[in-house]
Amino acid sequence: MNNVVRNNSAGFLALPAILVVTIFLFIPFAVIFQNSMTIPSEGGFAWSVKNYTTILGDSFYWEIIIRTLRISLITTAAALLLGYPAAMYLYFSKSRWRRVFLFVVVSPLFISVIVRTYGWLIIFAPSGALNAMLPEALQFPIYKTETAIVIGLMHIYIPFMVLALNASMAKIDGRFLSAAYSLGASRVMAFRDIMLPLSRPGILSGTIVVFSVSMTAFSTPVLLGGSSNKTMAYIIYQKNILLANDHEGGALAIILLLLAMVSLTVFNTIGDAAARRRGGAR
Amino acid sequence: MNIIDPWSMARRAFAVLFASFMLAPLLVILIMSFTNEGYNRFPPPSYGIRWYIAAFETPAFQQGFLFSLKVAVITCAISGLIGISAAIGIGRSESRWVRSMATYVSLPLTVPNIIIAIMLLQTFSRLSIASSPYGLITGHVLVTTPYVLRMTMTSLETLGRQTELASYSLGASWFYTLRRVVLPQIAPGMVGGLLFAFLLSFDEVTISIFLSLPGATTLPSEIFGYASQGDDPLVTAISGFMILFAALFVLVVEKLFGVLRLIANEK
Repeated sequence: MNNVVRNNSAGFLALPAILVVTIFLFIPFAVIFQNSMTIPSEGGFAWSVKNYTTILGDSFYWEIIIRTLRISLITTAAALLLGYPAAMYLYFSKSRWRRVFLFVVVSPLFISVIVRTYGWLIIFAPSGALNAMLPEALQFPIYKTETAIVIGLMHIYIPFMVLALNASMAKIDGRFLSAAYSLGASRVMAFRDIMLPLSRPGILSGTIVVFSVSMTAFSTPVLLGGSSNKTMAYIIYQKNILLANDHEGGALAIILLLLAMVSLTVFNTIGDAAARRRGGAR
Repeated sequence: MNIIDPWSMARRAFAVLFASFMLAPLLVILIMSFTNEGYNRFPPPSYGIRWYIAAFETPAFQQGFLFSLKVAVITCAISGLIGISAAIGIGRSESRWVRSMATYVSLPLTVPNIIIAIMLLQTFSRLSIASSPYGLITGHVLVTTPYVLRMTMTSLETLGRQTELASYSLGASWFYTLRRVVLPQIAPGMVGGLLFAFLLSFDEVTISIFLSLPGATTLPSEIFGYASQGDDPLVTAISGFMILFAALFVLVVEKLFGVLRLIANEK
C-alpha cells in the first residue's frame, strides 16, 4: 500500500545481531561437535566415535540419563498439576487479590535462580527450617535427595507453566462456560469438555518449556541433590571443568542436546495425537 | 454472594497455599539472614545485621558484585545496540525473508544455557582467549539480545506507521524520522528490553559458573561456590541482599512500566 516510503533497505540494521548469532552459536557448535568426534592421538587428533561409545556403553551414564529424565518428568507433571489450578484461579477470580496473586507468582522470576535454590537448601538442610518446624517423630531426610531436586526445580520453573496456561486460557470465551452451565453441564463436565481442550496449547507449551529447562538445569540439582544424585548437567560440569576433557565433555553435551530434542518431539507428538483423538471422537 | 460457596472457599485456600509455596524460600532467606547467631537456626533466637556486615566485608562478594555489575552493563550495552538496531531493521521491513530473521536472532533461547556454556568454553579455550569476561559476555549477549529485540519490536508494532508516514510526507529524511519520531515513541519498549537484559545478565548462573575464572567471577557464581559447601549464614546474608536488590529493581520497573504488563501482558 505505502509504496512511497517502503524502506526495505533498513534490513541491514539486523546484520550485527545476525552475525553475532551465526558466529557465536554455529561455530562454537561445530567446535564441540568436532571435539566430541575426535580423540587425542600422537601429534594431534584422530576422528573417532569412541567418546560416544564409551559413554553409551557404560551403565554409570545410563543411570544418570534415566535419573535426569525421571526428575524432569516428575517436575513437569507436578508443575502442571499445581500450575493448572493456579492458572484457573487467575482466569476465574475477579477480586483485587488476583493481581496480588499474579505478582507473587511472577516476581520470583526477577530473583536469581541461585538464590531461590539456596532458599530451598536452608529449608531442607539438616538444621534447616523444615526440620525445625516438624516434631521429632515426623522429621525425615530430604536434603540431598531427588525429592529435594524436584521441589526446587518445580518452584523455580512453575511461573513459566502458569504464564503459558494463563496466556492460553485468556483466549477462552467465558460465554462457552455460561452456555454449558445453562444447558445443565456439571462443573466436572465443563472442565473436561471446555476448559481442558481449549487450554491444550498452553498445557503443551508450558510442559515443553518446564521439561527442557528442568532437564538441563545445573545449579539446582547440584546444590539440592549433591554428588549422590548426579544429573547430566552435573557430569557435564565434572567432565568439562574438573577433568578438562573436551572430547567426552563435548559428547556428553551433544547427548544432552539430542535427548532434549527427542523428548520435545515426543511431547509434540503426544499433543497432536491427543488433539486428533479428541477431534475425531466428538 | 453472601452464601459461602465451597468451591470459592477451596479456590481461595488453594491460592493462599500456592502463594505461600512461592514465597517460602524467599521469606526463609530473609528471616534467617537477620540472625544474630553464629549458625543457622530457624527461627533465629536473636536478630541483627552482623551477617550483612560480614558479607559486605567479604572480598569475594565485593569483587563478585562489582564484576557482575560490569558484565551486566557491558552485556546490556551490546545487546541493546544490536537488538534495538535489529528490531528497527526487521520491524519496518515488508520482506518475509528479513522478518524471519527475528526467529533466527531468537535461536539462542532454544539452546539450553548449559550447552551455550560448553560451546563457548571449548571455543574460547581453543582460541586461547580468556573465557571470562569475554566468553561470559558473549554468552550473556546471546541470551539477552532476543528479549531486547522482541520488546522493541512489540513497541514498534503497537506504534503503527502513521506518524512516520506523516513525517516522510512533510519531507523529513529516513534518519531524521528515525531519530525524532520513531525512537522517542518506542523508548518504553527499548528501556524495558535494556532493563530486562541487565537483570537477566546480573542473575544468570549457569553460563557464569562454567566460564568464570579466578578473579573474574560473578556474584551468582561466587554464591554457588559457597553454597556447595552447605548452609552458611554468610551466604544467607548475601542471598538476602540479592533479594532486596531484585525487589528494588522490580519496584523501579513497576513504577516505570508495570511488571505484570511487561511479563504477563496484563493491562
